[in-house]
Amino acid sequence: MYTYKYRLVAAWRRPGTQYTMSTAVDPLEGLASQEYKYGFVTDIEQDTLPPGLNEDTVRFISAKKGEPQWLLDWRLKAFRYWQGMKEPTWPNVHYPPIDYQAISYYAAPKSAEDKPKSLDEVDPELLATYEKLGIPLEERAILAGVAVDAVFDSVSVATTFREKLAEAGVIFMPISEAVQEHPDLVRRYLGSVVPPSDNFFAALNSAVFSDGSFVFIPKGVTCPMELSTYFRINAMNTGQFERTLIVAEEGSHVSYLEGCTAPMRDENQLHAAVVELVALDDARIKYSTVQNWYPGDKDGNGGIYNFVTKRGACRGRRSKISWTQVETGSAITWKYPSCILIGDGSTGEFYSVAVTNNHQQADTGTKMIHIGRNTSSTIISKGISAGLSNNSYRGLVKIMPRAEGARNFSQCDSMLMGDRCGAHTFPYLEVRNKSAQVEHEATTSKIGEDQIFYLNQRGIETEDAVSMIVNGFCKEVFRELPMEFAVEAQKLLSVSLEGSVG
Amino acid sequence: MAAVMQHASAYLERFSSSQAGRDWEPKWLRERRELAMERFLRMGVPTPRDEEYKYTDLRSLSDGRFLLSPDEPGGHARPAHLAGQRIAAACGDSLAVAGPAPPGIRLMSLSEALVRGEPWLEDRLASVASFERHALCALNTALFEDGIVIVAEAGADSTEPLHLEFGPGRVARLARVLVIAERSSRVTVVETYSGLGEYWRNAVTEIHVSENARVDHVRAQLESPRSFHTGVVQAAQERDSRMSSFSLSFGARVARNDIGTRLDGTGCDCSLDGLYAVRGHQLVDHHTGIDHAMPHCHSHQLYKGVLDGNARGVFNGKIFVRRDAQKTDAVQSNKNLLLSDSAEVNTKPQLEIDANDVRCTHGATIGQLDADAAFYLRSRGIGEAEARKLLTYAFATDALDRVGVASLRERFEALLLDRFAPEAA
Repeated sequence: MYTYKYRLVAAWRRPGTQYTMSTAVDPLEGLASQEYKYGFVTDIEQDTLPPGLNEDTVRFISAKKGEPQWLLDWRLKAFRYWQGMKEPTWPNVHYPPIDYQAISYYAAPKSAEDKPKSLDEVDPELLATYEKLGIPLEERAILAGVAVDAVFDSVSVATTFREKLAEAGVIFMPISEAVQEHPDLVRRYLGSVVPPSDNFFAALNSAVFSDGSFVFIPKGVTCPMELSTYFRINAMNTGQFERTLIVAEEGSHVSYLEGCTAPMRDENQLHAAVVELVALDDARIKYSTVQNWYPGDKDGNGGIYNFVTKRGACRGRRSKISWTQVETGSAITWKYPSCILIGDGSTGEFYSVAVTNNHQQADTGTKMIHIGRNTSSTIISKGISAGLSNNSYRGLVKIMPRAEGARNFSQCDSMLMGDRCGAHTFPYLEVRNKSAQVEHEATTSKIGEDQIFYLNQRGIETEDAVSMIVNGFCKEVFRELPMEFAVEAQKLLSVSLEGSVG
Repeated sequence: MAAVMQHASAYLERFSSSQAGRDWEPKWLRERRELAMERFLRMGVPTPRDEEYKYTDLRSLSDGRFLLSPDEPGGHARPAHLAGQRIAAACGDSLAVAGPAPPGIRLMSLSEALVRGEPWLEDRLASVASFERHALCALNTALFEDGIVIVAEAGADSTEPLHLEFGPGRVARLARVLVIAERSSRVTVVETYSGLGEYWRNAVTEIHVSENARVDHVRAQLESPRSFHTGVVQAAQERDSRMSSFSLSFGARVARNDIGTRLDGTGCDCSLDGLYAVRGHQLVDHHTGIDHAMPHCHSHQLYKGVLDGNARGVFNGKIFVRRDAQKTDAVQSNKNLLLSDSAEVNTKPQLEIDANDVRCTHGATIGQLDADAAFYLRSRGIGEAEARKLLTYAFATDALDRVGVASLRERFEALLLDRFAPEAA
C-alpha cells in the first residue's frame, strides 16, 4: 500500500496563483482570455548542438554521455531504421511538416558536466526556475518524502532520496547514469518492449534520446515511496527525447508519477518520448501522468507536439500494469499507452482523461494485446473537447487465439463543449478466441442546460457547475490517481476548460 | 495497386469494347463511365494496406479474371419461396421484368430508361453512390451493362415488396439498381443474390429518398460458397424521409458490403441493420456509414454476427455528425457470437462528431454462448447440439425482427435455423 501524505509535484501550481473556481467575470463570455500561466523562460547557458541530425549527431550525444560501444551501436542502428521510415499520417491530427534537420538534438545545462551531489551544488538559476514553478525542492527533500528525478531539459540535475530507495534495493536514477552503473540491466531491458524499429518516433527517440529515468524494483520489494519525475522543456528549439525504463521484478510494486509543464513559445516543439515498462510474475506497476505542456495560444500558435510511445509488457503471471493519464496540454497529443498481456492472468488497465480546448488536437487511446490465458483489461477513456479542438480516442483490443478466457471492458465517453469542436472514436476490436468476452461502449454528450440550471438554482455559479459536472464525468479516472494528484488534476481541469462554456 | 496496373490493359480493353457498343448512351453517362474507369485504374482493387480493407483481402480479384472470363454455363439457381410477387430477374444475359407493376410504381430496365431519356436519370444515376473514392463502385459504374430502375411516383404507397433476383449471368455480375422514391411515396425493395460456382459479383444500389418518402430495402446475399461478393448500397435522403436497410449475409467466400446513407435534410430517420452468419473459411465484411449532414435526424444500427469454423467477421460502422447537425440521435450496436476457437471478429465502431448537442452511442460485444444458459437447457432434457442451436437462434433472431416484411422474415428465420442445424443432421 502507498501512503499519500507526501506533498507531490504540483507542476501546474505556481505560488500566488489562485485557482478558486468562482471568478467575477461573466463565465459565459470573458474567460477565454485565460493565458497559459507558466510561460516563462529561464536563461541558462546551454551546451547545445546546432540544429541537424545525422550519424555524427548520434555519435556526439553518445560520446557526450560517455556511453559504451553497445549503446552507440544500438543508437546508430535505430538511426538507420529511422532514415528508412516515414512519418505516420494516420492519426487524426493536422500540423505543418516537421523539419527534423531544424531541431537541435542536445541541450544540457552546463552544470550538468559536474553533477551536483546536493542541492547546494545545483545551479541557483535552476533552483529559481523550480521556485517559479512552485516546486519546493529543498522543502520536498525534508517534508514531502518523494524522490524526484527532475529532468531539466535533457540532463537530470537533482535526485533526492536515493539513499532511502537504495536501502530498499530500488534503483531510481537517470538512465544515463544507469547505463554506467547498471549496464547489464539496462542492456537487458532497453528496447525490449518498444524496439527501435517500432515506429517513426520511437526510432527517432532511440537514436537521439538524451536522458530519462531508470527504475528497477527488485524481487519482492514494495517501493517505499511514490516515484516522481518532473519534465520541463526549456531551451528554444530543443526537442526532448526522454527514455524511461521501469522494471519490476517478481512480486514487486511501484507507483510512478510524471507531471509536466513547459514555457510559452511561438515555435512548435517536438517531444518524442519512449516509456517502457516490464512487469514480471506478480509485479505491479502503476504509471500516472499529468501532462500540462503549453498547448499554444488561443489562435493555435505554438504549443508542444507530443508524440509519445508508451508500452508496458506484463511478462509474468498475474502481473499488472495500470496507466492513468490526465492530458490537458500540448498542441498535439499522439500517444497510446499500451499493455502487452503475455503472462497468464495478467491485467492491463488504462484510465484516461483527455481535455482539448482552443485549437488543440489529441489522438490518444490504448492498445491491449491479450496473449496469455485469463488475461483481463479495462479501458476507461473520457474525452472532453471545447473551443475549436479535436479529440480522438483510438484504441485496439486484440485477443490472440491462445488467450483463453480473456476479458476486456472498454468505455469511451466524449463530452463536447461548444459547437465548433469535434469528438471522434476509433476503437478496433480484434478477437480470435471464442472464450473471449469483449465489450465496448461509447457515448457522446454535452453538458445539459437543465443540469446547469439545476445547479444554478441551488446557488452554484455556472463556472462551478461546469467544473462539478466535468469532474463527475471524469471521476472514474481521477479515483485511479494517487490522492493528491487527483485533487490537482481536478483543479487543472477547471483551469483548462475556463471560458469554454457558452 | 501494382497488381491492377499489371492488368490495366485488360481492364481498359474490356472498357473500350463495352464503350464501343454503347454509343447510344447519353453523353453524360459515357463521360461518367470514363471518369469512373480512370478512378478505378488509379485506385486499383483495394489491398489490406488500405485502412478500409484492413481485414479483407481482395487482392485475388485484381487480375480481373472474373470480369474477363466467359460466363459459367447453365446455373439459373433461384432461391425459392422468397416473398414478393413482382420479380425482376437478372439471371441470364438480359433483364426480365415480370408482371405489371403495382399502382404508382414504375419498374423498368436501366437501358429502357436511358433510351426513353428519362430526365431525372442524370441527377441520380452514378451520383448518389460516389465512385470518387470507392474503387469497386467505380468499376461497376464504368462497366455495368444494364440494371433495374424502380420509381415510386409521388404519393404512391406500396407495401408489397418488389423482389429483384440476381442469379448468375453476365448482366447480373455487375448488378446495378436505382431506386427513386418521389415525394411522399413508399416502396419496399428486396434484392436477392445467388449463384453457382466461382465468380465475382460487384453490385451497386443507389437509393434516392425524396421528401417525406419511405424506402425499405432488404438485401439477401446467398451467393455460392466459392464466390466473391462486393456490394454497395448508398442512399441519399431528403427532409423528413425514412429509409431502412437490412442486410442478410450468409453466402460467398468473401463478402464485402458497403451500406450508407446521407441525411441531407432535417427530420430524417434511418436504420441500417443486418445479420451475418458464416462458417468454414468464409469472410463477411460490413462497412456502414451514416452521414448526419443536417440537424434533427435519427439513425439506428444493429448488426449481429454469428461465426463458426474458421470464419471471419468484419464490421466497421461509421457515424459522422457534421458541424451544426445538432439534435442528432445516433445509436449503433454490433454484437458477435463466436462458436468456434478459430473464428475471428474484427469490429470497429467509429464515431466522428463535430456538433455538440447530440446523442451518439455505440457499442460492440464479442462473446460465446452462455454456458449457464446451455446448462439450463440441458438440465431440461434438451441435447447439447440442440441447445447450442436454440441459443444461437435466440441470439440472431432479434436482428431479424428488424425485417419489416413478415413473409421475408419467416423465410430468413428458416434459413437461419438451417444454418445452425447440428453438423451431423
